[in-house]
Amino acid sequence: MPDPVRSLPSLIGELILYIVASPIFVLRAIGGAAREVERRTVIKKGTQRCKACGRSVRLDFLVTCNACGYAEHRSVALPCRKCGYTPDWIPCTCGASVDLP
Amino acid sequence: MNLYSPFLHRGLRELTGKRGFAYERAKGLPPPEPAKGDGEGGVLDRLDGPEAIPFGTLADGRVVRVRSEIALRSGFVLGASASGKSRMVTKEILTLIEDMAEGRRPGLQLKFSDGKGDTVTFLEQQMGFWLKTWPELKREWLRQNVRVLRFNRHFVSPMPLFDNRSGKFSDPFVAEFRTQVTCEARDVDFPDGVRYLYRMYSQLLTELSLSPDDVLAIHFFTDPAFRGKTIGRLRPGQLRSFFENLENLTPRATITALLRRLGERVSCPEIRAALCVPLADLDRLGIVREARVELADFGGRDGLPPAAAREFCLQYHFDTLLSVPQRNPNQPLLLIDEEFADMVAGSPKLVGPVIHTLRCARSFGVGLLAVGQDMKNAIEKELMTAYVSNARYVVAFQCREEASWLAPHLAEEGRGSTKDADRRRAFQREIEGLPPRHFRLWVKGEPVLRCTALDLPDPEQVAGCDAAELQETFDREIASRSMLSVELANELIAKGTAEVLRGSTTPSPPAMVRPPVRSMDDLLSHLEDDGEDEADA
Repeated sequence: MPDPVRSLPSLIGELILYIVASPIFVLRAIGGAAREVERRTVIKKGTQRCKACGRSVRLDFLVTCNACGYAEHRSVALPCRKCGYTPDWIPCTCGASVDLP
Repeated sequence: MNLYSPFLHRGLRELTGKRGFAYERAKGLPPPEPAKGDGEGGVLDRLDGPEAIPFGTLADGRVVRVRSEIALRSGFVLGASASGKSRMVTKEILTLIEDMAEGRRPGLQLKFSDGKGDTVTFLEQQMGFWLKTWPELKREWLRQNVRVLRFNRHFVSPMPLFDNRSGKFSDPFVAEFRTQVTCEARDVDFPDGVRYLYRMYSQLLTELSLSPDDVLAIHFFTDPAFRGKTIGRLRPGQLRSFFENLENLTPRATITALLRRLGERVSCPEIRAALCVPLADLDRLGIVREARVELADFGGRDGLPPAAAREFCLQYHFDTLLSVPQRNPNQPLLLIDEEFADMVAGSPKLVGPVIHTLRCARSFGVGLLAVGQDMKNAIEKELMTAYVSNARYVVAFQCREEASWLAPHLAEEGRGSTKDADRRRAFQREIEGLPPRHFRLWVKGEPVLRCTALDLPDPEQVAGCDAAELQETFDREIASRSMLSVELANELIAKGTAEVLRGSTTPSPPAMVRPPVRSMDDLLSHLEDDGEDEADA
């Protein structure tokens, strides 16, 4: 059984560490929320513009997961229902890659 | 990697799932049916117009009428054997003839060339029926304005190939294209020397308006006295000089080879009768040589050798095609060719002139309607492209190869909802499976229409009498004006040749027509010419 007198300073130290690092967590959370908003906007829109040719690339079709092979009708920017895999990019017909949010 | 968050994305997953499913479903479906009602009605209204010709009916019974401005331009009728293309074209021809007989379509000239012969027979029998039932005024129009080109063992239509008295072309030009067509159409080879000699002899025949009779040719090439007398009638120049030095310029073997070819060419009495009747006799008998409606049967069903039928067909077409640039655009011509394209395709050197004519035909009011089957395989790509590029409309009956070839031009419908490849495959499947008389009509710039050909009952059924009786009526009242019996023709040829050999009636070259005097320069020019004539005398 751990000694409560000896563990108290380590608990306090850990608390101080979290307090010092909290702005980083806050910033990460804000960044994550912003990315999520952007992603929802793109997914709702259903298309993503190719930076190379300017064409709108369709995102909603019969997607087959590159990781597990599961196929379903959804936006390619959403994670796979089975394994959670989401591709970072999809190919455009012009040959360039289109980044997904 | 994003972690799976089913609750976070539930709404988005549902929304995008529906959109993805709808997209995949639309992609996999066959092309939608063309719009009915207002869409087709709009097309029908746009195609209809003054002097329209009925092409067929839609599924709901509405008649598809195509205005003259389009129907008399170049077109393309494709289809397998017995798919109904000949009947459709026959119906169009009969409609045009009926209109012309009633005084509509002023100036229109119609020429129909049939490589098989059955369609011409059908048309003749239909006209035989009209001759029995129409009022006298219209019957007389038929007698005066219909000409037949037919060749059988008993009767032939004269084809004086070297008659250039109208001056439509220059004599060397006539000689050149007659030579070119003959050398290409015949099964026999024409080496360079023989071809050149034939070209020069053709020019001589044209300048002196002689017939290409082999007896005359033998005397010309073997009898120096007769040759000297004949070329003495030629105008001074290259031609006269060539024949004056014939024996120095041409080996004996070449002359013999040409004589063999000329003899072989007219060895059939029918061919001799068609080609060699003296022009003076044709004029005296009043044989019709040009008419507003011409029906040419090059089927060779009744004894005409295929090579001769092919040559006659090509000569007839070249007469028409080469005169296109001289036509008055206000007097349109519709030339309907059944299987002609196949014939030209077998003679690669003739493809060029045909393509050139196709390109300039529209400017001179000339439309070429090509009717055929298996064209994709039979015709050179260049000729096929020229035909379709210049076609204003395409009629596609049941066909196979041509369907894939025509698909990019025809399958306008469904664009946007399916891939081009899927749409073409669907179009091809549909065309390959069309029942007889069903066709697709595509006028360029308009959507494709699904049509059925109009009914065309056999004339003997309508008339209630024998087909032979209708044919006999037509032959007696119309064909006899443009044909003569083989027996009479051969008598006239023998007589004409004998007279030419005796030297009593060698035709003189056409007199030079002097231009009218309109200025002092013209007067001086006339006086100078007169002075030269007197000096020559």
